[in-house]
Amino acid sequence: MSLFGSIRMANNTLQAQQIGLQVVGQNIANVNTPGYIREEVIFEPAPAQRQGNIILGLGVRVAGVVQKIDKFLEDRLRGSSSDAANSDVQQQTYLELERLLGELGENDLSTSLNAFFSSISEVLNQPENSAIRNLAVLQGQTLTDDIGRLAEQVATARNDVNDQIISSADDINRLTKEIFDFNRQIAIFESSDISESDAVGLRDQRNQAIIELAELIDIQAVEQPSGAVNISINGEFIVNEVARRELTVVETTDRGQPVAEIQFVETGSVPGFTSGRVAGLFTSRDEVLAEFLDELDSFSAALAFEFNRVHSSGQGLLGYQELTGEFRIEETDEPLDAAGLSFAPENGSLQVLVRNLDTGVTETTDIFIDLDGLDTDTTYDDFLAALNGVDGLTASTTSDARITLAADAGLEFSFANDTSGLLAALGLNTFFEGDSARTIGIRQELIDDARLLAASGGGIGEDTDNAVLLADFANRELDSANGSSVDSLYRNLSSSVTQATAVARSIAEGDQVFMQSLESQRFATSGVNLDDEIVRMISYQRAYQAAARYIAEINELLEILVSI
Amino acid sequence: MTSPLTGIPTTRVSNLYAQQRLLAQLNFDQIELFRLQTQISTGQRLLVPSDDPSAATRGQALQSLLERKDQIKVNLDTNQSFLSATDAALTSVSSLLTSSYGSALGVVDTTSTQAQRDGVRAELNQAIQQLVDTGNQEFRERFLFSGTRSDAPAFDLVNGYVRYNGNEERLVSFSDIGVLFETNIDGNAVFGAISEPVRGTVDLNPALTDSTRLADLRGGRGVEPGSIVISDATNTSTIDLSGAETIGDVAALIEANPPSGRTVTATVTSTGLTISLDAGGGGNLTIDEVGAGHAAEQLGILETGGVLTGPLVGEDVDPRIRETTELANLVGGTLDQTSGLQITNGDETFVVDISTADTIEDVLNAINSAGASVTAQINEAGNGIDVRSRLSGADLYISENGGTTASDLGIRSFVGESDLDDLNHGLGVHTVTGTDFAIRRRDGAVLEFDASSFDTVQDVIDAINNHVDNQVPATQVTAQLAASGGGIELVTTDTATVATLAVLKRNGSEAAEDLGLIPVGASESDPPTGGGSTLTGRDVNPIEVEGAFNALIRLERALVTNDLREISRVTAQLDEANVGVNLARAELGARQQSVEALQLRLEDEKVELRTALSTQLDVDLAEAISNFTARQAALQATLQSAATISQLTLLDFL
Repeated sequence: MSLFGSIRMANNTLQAQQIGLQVVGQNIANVNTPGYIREEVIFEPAPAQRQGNIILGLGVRVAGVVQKIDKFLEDRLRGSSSDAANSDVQQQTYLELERLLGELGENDLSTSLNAFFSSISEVLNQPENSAIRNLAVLQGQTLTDDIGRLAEQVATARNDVNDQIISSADDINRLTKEIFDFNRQIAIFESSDISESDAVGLRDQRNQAIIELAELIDIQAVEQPSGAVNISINGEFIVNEVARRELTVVETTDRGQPVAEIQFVETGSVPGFTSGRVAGLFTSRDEVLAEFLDELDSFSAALAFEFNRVHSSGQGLLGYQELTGEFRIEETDEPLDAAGLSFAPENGSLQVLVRNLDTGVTETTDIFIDLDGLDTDTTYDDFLAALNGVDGLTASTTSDARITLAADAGLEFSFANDTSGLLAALGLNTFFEGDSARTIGIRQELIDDARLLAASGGGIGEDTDNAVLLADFANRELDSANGSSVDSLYRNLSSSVTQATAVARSIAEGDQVFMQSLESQRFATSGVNLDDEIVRMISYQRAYQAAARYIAEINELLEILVSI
Repeated sequence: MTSPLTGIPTTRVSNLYAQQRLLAQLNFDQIELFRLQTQISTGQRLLVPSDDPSAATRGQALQSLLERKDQIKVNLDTNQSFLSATDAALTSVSSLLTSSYGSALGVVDTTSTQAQRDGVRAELNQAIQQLVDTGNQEFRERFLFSGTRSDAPAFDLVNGYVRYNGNEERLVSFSDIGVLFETNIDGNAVFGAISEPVRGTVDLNPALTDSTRLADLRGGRGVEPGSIVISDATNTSTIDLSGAETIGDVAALIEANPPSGRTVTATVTSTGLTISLDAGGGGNLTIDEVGAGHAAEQLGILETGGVLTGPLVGEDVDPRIRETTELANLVGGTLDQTSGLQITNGDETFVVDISTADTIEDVLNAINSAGASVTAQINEAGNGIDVRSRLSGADLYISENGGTTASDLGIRSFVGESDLDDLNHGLGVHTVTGTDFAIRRRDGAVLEFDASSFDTVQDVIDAINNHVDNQVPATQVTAQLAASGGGIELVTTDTATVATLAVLKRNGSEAAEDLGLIPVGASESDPPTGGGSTLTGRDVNPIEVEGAFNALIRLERALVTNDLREISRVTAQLDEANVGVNLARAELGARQQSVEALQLRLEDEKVELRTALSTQLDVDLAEAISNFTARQAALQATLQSAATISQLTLLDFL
C-alpha cells in the first residue's frame, strides 16, 4: 500500500460522501412529493487486500442506492385502497338514491300516496259533487307521475354509472400500458447495472401507476427477479414481463337500459372484479340501482293491480257505453291464468250489470271464471262468449288483441263483485293503467270523465260502499303480497334504502380509516423526514471534510517524499 | 363523518405525513362545524335519513300518520257542517207536528163543525207541504234526507200522497284510521217514509246448484276458507278449499283429491253435498277439519264417526237468494209465472207480469218498475222477497191476478194466515155477542155465523165451508181467497134464482164490514157478479207507511168524513211520528257531540304526534350549539398546535 493508494482510497471516500449528499439532496427535493419513496445510500467496506501478512481495507464502496419500501405493506395498502374505492362508490350511489327518494322532505312518494287516498276520502265526504271526483283522478295522476319520475331519475343514475364503467375500461388499458412500458424499462435498466441499485424514478412512476390501477380494480402485483411486476386479477394475468392484455367493452341491454360488460379482448372472458372502483360501479349498477328499480316496479304493480281489483268491482255515477281493455291477450284458447297476462286472475266469479237508461232497470248476469285446474278452465274465448251471452252487450277483440265491449243503444253497463281479479287483469273498469313504475298512469276514460270513478258498490250511482274500500286501501292486507299492505310495502322500500345507505356509509368510513392507518405506516417507512436528512447531510459533510483533510495530510507526506 | 382517528406510527414520522394529517384534521373540523351550523339554522337533526336510520324510519311513519290525521280533520269538519245543517233543518219539524196534533185534538170530538174541520184541514195541507220542503232540503249540493241517493230530492207529492225516492243507506266517512261514522240520516228514519214489508210466510228455499257461491251459503254468512281431511280409514287426503268459489268447485276438488288408491264421488244436491267412496274398496269414510278450521262443518260434511263407504249426506247448507238466482230453482220449481200479480197503491192498480222472468232480479225489476211506488228487494234472511210501500198516505194491497203468483212469492197481503186483529190497519174485526153475519144462498137458505171465535181469515173460510148446513155440493157456497184482487170471495155453482147470493148484517155487528164482505155503512153486500155466482169481498189488510206524512194525509182525509175512529187512530200515529222525529234529532245531536269530542281528541293527538316527530327529527339546539362551540375550540387548538410544530426544524439550530 503506497501513499498514492491512500490518496486513491480517500478519493473514493470523497466520491462516496458526494453520492450520499446527492441522495440526501434527492430526498430533500422530494419531501413534498406524494407517493415518493425515500432513498438511502448503502455503504459497504471495499474488499480488503493482503499486504504481506496484514490485511488492509481499501476504503468504502457504494453498494447501491435503494428505495426504502416495505413490499408487504404496499400489497396491503393496494388491497385496502381497492376496498376503500369500492365502498366509496357504493356509498355515493346509496346517497344519491336516498336523495332521489327524498323521504323526510315534503315532496316524497309517501306524501303523494297519502294525498291520493285523502282525495278519495273527500269523495266520501261529498259524493254528490263531481268536481271532487275529478280532483281524486288528478291526484292519482300526480301520484303516478311522481312514481314515474322517480323511476326515470334512478334509471338516469344507472346510465351515469354505466358510462363510468365504460370510461374505466379505457383507464385500465392506459394504466396497464404504462406499467408494461415501465416494466421493460426497469428490467433493461437494472439488468445492465452491476450494482444493486433500484431504478429509482422509474420505479416510483411505475408504483404510482400500480396504485392508481389498484384503486380501479383489485390486483395482485408480484415483483419478478428481473425487476418487472406481474399484475394479475383473480388469477388471470393482465400485465407481465412480456405481454399485456387489453380490456374491451361489450354493450347489451338489461331492464330496458344499455349495460356495458368488460371483457378481455382476445378471449372474451370476463375478469371477476371483486374490489376496486370498477367492482363498486358494477355493484351499484347491477345490484343497488337495479334491485331498487325492480322493487319500485313490483310496488307499482302491486299498487296498480290490487287497487284496480277493488275499483273494477264498483260502479260510478254512470256506466259505460263502450270500453276497451288495456292488456293484450295473446293466447285466446289457453286458461286465463296461463294466457300470458302480467297479472294472473284466479278462480272466482264476476257480475255484469246492464242498465236501461230510460227505465233505470238493471239486469245482472253472473259469469264464472273457472280456474281451479280441474276439468275445463275458462279461456279468453269462453269469457268472450259469456259476455256476448249478456243481453244488450257485444264483446269482441280489437286488432291489437285487446277485449272491447259495447252496449246496445239506450243501455249502459258496469261490473260488480269480481272475486277472480279478471277485470283488473284485462284492464276493464280499472283506475290505474300500466304494470311497472315507468308505465303506471291513470286510465284515459277516467281523465275524460271522472264520474266513472267507481265509488258505488250496489249499482250505478247507488251508494259509496266501494269508495270506503278505496279510501282505506293503504292499510288493506293484500293477498298477492303475503298480507302486506301498500303502506308497509312502500315503507319497506324506503327504509331498506335508508338502512343500506347507513350501512354503506359506515363501511366506507371503516375502509377509509383502515386505508389511512396503513398509509400512515407507509409514511413511517417511506416518507422523508427533513431532520433525518439534515443529520445525514451533516455526517456526509463531516466525512467529506475529514477525507479532504486526510488527502491534505497525505499530500504533505508526498511533498516531503518528493523533496528529498 | 370520516374521523381522522387513525393510529400514529411508532417508528418515525415523515414531513409529508405530518402535513397530511394536519390537513385532514382541519378538514374534519371544518366539515363538522358546517354540519352543526346547518343543523342549527334548519333546526333539523337529520340532514339525510341515513344519519340515523331508526329515527328516520320512525320519523317517516309519524309524518305519514300526521298527513292522514290532517285528512281525518277535514272529514270531521266537513261532516260536522252537514250534521249541523241537518239538525237546523229539523228544528221546525217537531213544532209543526205538535201544532198539527193540537189542532187535530181540537176537532176530534162530535161537537166540531164542518167549518172548524175545514180550517184544520187547510192547516194540515200547509203542514204537509212544509214538511215535504223540509225533507227536500239541500246543503252544499247534497239533499240531506235522501240517504245515499243524495243527488236527487227525497220526496215528491203525487196525487195528494207523498212518495219517498231516497233510500235507507247511510253515507259514511272516516273518523279515524279504519273507523267509519255515519254522516247523514235518511228520510225514513226521520219522517217514516217506507212501510214495513208485506209479511210473507213463504220460505222460497232456493235450491243449491253447482254454481252457488260459497259466500251465499249459510244464509249469506258464507264459508271460511280452509282445508278438510278426507279419509277411508287407511289413507288420508288433505284438500285445500281456499281457492274454491262455488260449491261445484268444492265437489270437483274433493273428487280430484281422493285418499290414495280410492275413488270419491261428490255430487251437489239441492240442499247440500253427498259424498261416497267406491263400494268395492271398503273402508270407512270420514271427513274432518284441519287444525282449528271450520270448513267441513260449515259445508255440512263434518263426519268424524264414519259412514263406511257412504253415502255421506251433507247437511242443508241453506243458500241465500241472490239477484241472479233462477226462478226455476225456487220452491221446488212450482212458481206460477203465467198469472202475474196485482199491486194496488194509492187508488191505482198495476198488473205485474213475470211470465218472461228468469231470475229473482227480473221479478224485482218488474215490481219496481211497475210504477206502483213500491220497493221490492231480497229480504234480510235471504230466503224471500220484501215488498214495501214508498207512498205515504196510501194503502198498499198485493193480490193475485187469477193464479197463485203472489202467494207463491209470499207477498200476497191478504192470506189465510192473516190475523183478524191486524186487519183494517190494526183496528181488527168488531164482533157482538150472538151472530154477527149471515150468508144467504141462491136456494134461499141462510147460514148464520158468530165471528167471536174466529182468529184468522182461514178460520172464517173454514167456518163457511164446514158449516153443517152447507155440505150439499149442488147448493153450497164455497168461501176462498179471491182469485183476482179482493179479499174473501164466495162462489157458488147453484143456478137457483130463489134468492141472490148475499151477506147480511146481524145484530148490528160490524164484523162483516170489517171482513170486507159488506160495504162500510151498509147492511147487505153488493150484488154478486158472474151472473149471480160470485161475491168478492174487499181486501181489508192494506199496508200503510207509518210516519208523519201518512198521519197528516190520513188525518186530513178523515176530517172530510169525520171518521172518528180513523181520526183517533191516525192522531196516535201522528204523536208517534213526532216522537220519532225527536228521536232522530236526539241521535243527530249525540252524533254531533261525539264528532266534536273526536275533533278535540284529534287536536290533542296531533300535538302528541308532532312532539314525537320533533323528538326524532329536530335538533336539540342547546346540544348543537355546545357541540359547535367545542368544535370551534378544537379547530383553534389544532391550528395553534400545527403552527408550533411546523416551525420546529433542525435547520434553525445549525
